[in-house]
Amino acid sequence: MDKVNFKKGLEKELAARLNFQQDVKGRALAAIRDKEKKRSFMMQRMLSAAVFTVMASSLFLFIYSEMHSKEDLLKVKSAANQMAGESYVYRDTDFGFTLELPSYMRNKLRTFDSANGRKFFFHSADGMSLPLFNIDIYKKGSRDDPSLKGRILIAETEKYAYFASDIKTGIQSLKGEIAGKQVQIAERFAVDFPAALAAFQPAADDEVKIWTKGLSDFRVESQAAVDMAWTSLDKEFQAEDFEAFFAVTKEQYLAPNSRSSLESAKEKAMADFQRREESFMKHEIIDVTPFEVNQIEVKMIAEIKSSITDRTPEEIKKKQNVKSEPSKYLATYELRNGEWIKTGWKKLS
Amino acid sequence: LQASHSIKLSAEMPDIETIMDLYGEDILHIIYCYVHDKALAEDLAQEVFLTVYLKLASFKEHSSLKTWITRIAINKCKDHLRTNYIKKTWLSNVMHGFLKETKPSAEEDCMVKDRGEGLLQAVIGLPVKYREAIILYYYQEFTVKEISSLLGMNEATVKSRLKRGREKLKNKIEKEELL
Repeated sequence: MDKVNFKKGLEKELAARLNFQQDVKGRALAAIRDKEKKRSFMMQRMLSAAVFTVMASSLFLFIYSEMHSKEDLLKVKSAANQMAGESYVYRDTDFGFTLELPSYMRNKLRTFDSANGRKFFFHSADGMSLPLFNIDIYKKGSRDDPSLKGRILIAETEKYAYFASDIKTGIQSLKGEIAGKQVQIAERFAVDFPAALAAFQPAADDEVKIWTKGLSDFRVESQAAVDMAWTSLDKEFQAEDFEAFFAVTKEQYLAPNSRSSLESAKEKAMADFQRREESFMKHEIIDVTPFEVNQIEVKMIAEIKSSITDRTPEEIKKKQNVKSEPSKYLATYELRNGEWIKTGWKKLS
Repeated sequence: LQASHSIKLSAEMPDIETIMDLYGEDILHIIYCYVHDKALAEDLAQEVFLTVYLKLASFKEHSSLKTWITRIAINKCKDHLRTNYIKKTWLSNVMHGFLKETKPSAEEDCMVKDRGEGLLQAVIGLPVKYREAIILYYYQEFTVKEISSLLGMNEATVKSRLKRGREKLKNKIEKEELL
């Protein structure tokens, strides 16, 4: 039997016995469809399980992060400070905010109250406490003006804005007061200061005690300091300069025996005074608002109305309707040896 | 998968139904020659095409599609024969006496010959190792090289088995004709 006949003969016999199209194909296709359905069902179940897992994980993570957000944040941020060594968390008792500070500053910082936050003083080895930096809190929309030079916004909440003062200014003032080694510590801290500010965490708005405590309470506590500062400020602007100047010019211009010359000298003096208008000013303090007050330092916003004095009736008449706009000054006084000493006077507007 | 023609495998590949149309009969015949049981051959053929459908994405085209499907079919058959060897051995021992008595009568042999099933019976009567070589070479028309690849043996062995298979088959057919 040759190959062709063998194939034909065998094919004939197998074809008579077996029919793939009739007996197998339909079943095979049904099996494939069934398998495909199962696979699709499994995929759906796996997808559903995956979605469920993701949702459950998200929910868990959300709850977990809500419960541990503050701690986690501090932990994460502590990494920055740990680069520079050990750190500790300063939690402000009144304002509730936290700062992560390097350990080497633990015994180097003294804090004092402030109307708008906390003042941090560098406590040197020889017992001196010198201002280093401030954390100031301003209620949004209040009349206080936080836009002072050297302050940077470090955090904002719905109600409050938190500012930090420039530590470099503080260190500059330290340099003349304390020993070099102490300054080096402060300068080292200046390097770590941005990380401390990065770890700054404000308290929830309703936990900021200063506002529940109220400014009135605070003012009562510091009333004496304000009064003293007021008196000092008042004295500062008694037109003393004018009186002294007038006395000098009087001697210079007034002839002892000539009324006319007296008048002319006065007129000349007045002319001079007019050129130096500042000398004619009488400063009237119309309002002083405590800005930052504590036991050793007072800052006030002084609203001062300046008016021209000692004019001829004509001049007064002529210029009486001209009113000077009140000016605002930031006055700073420090309590040194029991006396308030003016350390800063700056026109704000 | 409402319609069978929707079972499309890829842009390049024919869909599974077309594959079945092309190779279904041949595969079923090969399987039958291995297992010599119609129902079992149909079940195994169904399994083969299910496997083809599931694995077609992994088909690398190192060989022809027919060779690939044939290899799947041979593996299925051999798996089946292996797993059923113990059962078959036990069954053959237990049923030996009964089977002897149920040997086809001369009348039944004539009926088989009338149906033209002598050749198939002769082929199926060959030992598997010769049977598969004969079927693949003479019936499926694979080359010796292809068969060596399909069966995982060298070409000389294939040739040797073909030679021995031919001799055995010739003897069988001649013996049947004498009867």
